Amino acid sequence: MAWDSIADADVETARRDLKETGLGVIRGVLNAVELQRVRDAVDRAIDEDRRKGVPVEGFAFDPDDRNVRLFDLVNKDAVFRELVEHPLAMTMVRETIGDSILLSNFSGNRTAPGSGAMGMHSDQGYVPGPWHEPMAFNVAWAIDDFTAENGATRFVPGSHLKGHGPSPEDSALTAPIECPAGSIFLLDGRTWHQTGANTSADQTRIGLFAYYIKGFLRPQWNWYTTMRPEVLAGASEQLREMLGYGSNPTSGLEVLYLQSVDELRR
Amino acid sequence: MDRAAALPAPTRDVEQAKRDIKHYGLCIFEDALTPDQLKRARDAFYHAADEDRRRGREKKFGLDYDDDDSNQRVWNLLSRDPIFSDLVEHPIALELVKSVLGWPCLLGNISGNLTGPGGGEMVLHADQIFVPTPWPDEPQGCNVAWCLDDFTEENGATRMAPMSHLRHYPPGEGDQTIDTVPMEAKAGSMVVFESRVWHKTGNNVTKDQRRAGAFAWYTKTIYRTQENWFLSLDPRVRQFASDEMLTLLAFKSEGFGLVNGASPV
Repeated sequence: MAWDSIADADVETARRDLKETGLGVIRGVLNAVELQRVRDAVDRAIDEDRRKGVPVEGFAFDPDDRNVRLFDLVNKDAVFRELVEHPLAMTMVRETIGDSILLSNFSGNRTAPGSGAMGMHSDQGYVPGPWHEPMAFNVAWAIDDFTAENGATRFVPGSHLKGHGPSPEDSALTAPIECPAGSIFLLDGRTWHQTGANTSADQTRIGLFAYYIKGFLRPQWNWYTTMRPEVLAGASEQLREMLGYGSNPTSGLEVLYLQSVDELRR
Repeated sequence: MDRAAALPAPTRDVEQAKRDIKHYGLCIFEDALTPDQLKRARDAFYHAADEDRRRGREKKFGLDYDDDDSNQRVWNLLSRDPIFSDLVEHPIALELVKSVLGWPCLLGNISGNLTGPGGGEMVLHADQIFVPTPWPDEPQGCNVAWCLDDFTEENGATRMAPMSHLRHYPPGEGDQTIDTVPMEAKAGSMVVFESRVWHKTGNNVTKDQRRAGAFAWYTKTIYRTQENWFLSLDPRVRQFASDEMLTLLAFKSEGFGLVNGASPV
C-alpha cells in the first residue's frame, strides 16, 4: 500500500487537527490501483450479499432504504483485512486509544442520490460519561470522492471536547468532511457526526468504516460466531488480537495493576 | 489508617439487602441456597477443583502472589455442572444484581476460589479496575459470592472494606494497608457486592481447612466478558438455556455482539 508516499507533514497536520477538532484527514493513502481493487471487492460483496439474502438496506438507523450497508468486511475479502491493519491506520489508532484494541466493526456505507442524513451521534455514545478521553476511534476510508453533495460524513468541529454525546434536541453546526478518493479520515470516538444527505442527481459514494475500541469494551460485531475458520487461521497476531482472540484486559487485571503489585512485593 | 466500618448484619429480606448494597456496598444474604442445592453445588465445585488439580490445570490469577500455591482458581464453573446455572439465575441473586446494574446485563464470569491451609492474601482491588478513572457515577459491575463452605476469618474469608464504594476510585499502593473486615458467612449464604468495593482474598491460617467460594460476576452490557462464552461454554448449557440466561451470556443481544445487524439467536 502507498504508505511510503505520504508526506510526514500530512500526518502531522491530521494529528494536530484530531486533537483540536476531533477529526483528521490524510490524503493519498490509497493509489488508483489500490482504490480499484477495493471498489471491485465492494461491488462483489454487495452482489454476493444480495444473492445470499443478507440485508444491505432498510436498516432501523437509516432514514430510508437508499443507503447500502455492508457488514462483515473482514470475512469478505483480503483487501479489507489489509485496510484494517494498514500501518498508518494502526499507528493513528494506537496513538489515540492505546495498545489494547478491539475491532468493534468494519462496515461499508454507500450513499445514493436522495438518501437522507443519519441521526447525529458519537461512536462511543454508549459509554457512560463524562468522557475524559476517546474510548473508540473510527478510521474511515473514502473509496470515492466525498463531497457535500454526495453525502459526505458531517461532523461538529471541537465536539470531542464536550465530554458527552449529542442529545436529540442538539442542533449543532456541522461541516462536511470533503476529501478525495483514497483518503482516510480519522474520527475521535467522542466527535459528533452523521452521514450526510446525498443531494446529488446521480452520484453514489462509498465509505468504509473501521471502528476500533479499547480492549475492555464489547464489540458491536460478533466475531466469535462469524469468523470463517480459514480467515482466522490466516490472520496475523495483530488481527487475531483485535478480533478478541488474544489478551483480555477485563480478566488480565494484573496488566493494569502490575506496578502497585511489584511495589508491594519489595 | 482508616478504621474499618462494620459489615451489614446477615439478612433474608430482599429489600433490606438492596439497602445494604447501597449503604455498605455489599449485603450478606443468608440461606440463599437450600441444603440440597448447597450440597450439589459444593460437591460439583470440589469435584471440578480436584480434577483440575489432578491434571495440573489450577491456573493462577493475576492478582494472586506467585509464591502462593494454596489458593486455587476454578474457571468456567458454568460448564462444569448444571447446578451453577441455577446459581447464576438464582431469582434473589438476579433481583439484587438488577437493582445495581439494571437489565439487560451480562455474566462476565463465574469462577471459583478455593483457599487452602497457608493460602495467602490477594492484592486489594475493586472489580471494575479496568474502567478508566474518573469512574462513571454508577457501578459498572456486581459480584455475587456464593459461600459453599462457612467463610471464617481463619479459613481465608474474603476481606472487605465496607463503604469503600463511596470513595469512587480504585485502591492504589497507598491504600493497601486500609483496615478490612473478614466477610464471615455461613455456607449457603451469598454475598453481593457492587464493583467499586475494595476487597481481597484473606489469609487461610488454618492447619486443615479449605473453603470454596463461587464468584458470579455480572457487568453492564458494554463490557467485554472475562470468560469467552462463545468459545468455552459447554454447548448443552446454551441449548437448554432460558431467554434470561441467553441474555446474560450475550447470545441474545441488542446493540452489541450482533451478526448482520441482528441478535445471534
